[in-house]
Amino acid sequence: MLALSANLQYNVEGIFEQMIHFQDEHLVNDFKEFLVRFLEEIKHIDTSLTNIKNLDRNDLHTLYVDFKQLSSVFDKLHQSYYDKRYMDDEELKSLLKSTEKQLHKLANISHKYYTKHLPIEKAPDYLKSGLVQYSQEVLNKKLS
Amino acid sequence: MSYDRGDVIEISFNIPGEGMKHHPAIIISNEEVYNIDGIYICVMVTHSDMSSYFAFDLEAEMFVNPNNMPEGKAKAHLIAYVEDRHVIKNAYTKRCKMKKIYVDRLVGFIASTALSEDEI
Repeated sequence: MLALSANLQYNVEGIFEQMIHFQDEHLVNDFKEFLVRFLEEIKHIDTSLTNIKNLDRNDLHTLYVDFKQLSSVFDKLHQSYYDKRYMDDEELKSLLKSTEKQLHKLANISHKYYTKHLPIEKAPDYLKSGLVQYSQEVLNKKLS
Repeated sequence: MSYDRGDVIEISFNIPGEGMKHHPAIIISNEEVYNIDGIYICVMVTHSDMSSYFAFDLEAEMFVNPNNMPEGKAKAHLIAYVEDRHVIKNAYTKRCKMKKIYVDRLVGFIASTALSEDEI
């Protein structure tokens, strides 16, 4: 319901995976058109996420896993275009960055709601006091 | 600037009764921060397999040298300022770096989980 449908998720991941391996210049325009449509789709999901608070743990887990998986595949694709300097295509760069921002936002929101139900893991005291000490030492020096 | 954004460094902590322990951390600040004030902002990596609210999963593809990637998870709320002199220089120094795309993702995760109110 809130997530991408299973079929769409599978198709999107498949397209991302294909694009990792076939970064042909002739495919770039088609890929950009796809990204424009996909971006619209995930923006629409964003507006319907207000219902996330009402989901049960199983649905939250599904949502979390779906977005995490999709983000991971997209990040691999984005990294490969980044390594190629976005093929000197500013429009492609902008679309990839916008998609990344939107996908990560959804992945982060689903992570937050899913993990709110998980046990809390507290940081050990030595780590917290050590971090405070490092920061305090640096700030005292910089602000004096 | 001895270290760059994305570099995995080690800093040490005193455990009462046990002595010093080294912990990996990932530099998330940029060159401007270092150029102006000579400091790095870093996020700690702790040994943990648990999924939890502040835990950012580290995966092999996120690193330039995955064989040397730190074990555990980056913890979004465990952030500190450090200077060059705080960084432990040993065999692991400069052996691992997180790729830019993933540092951006980590910073977004930190902003979302540790520095923001609910987004919806």
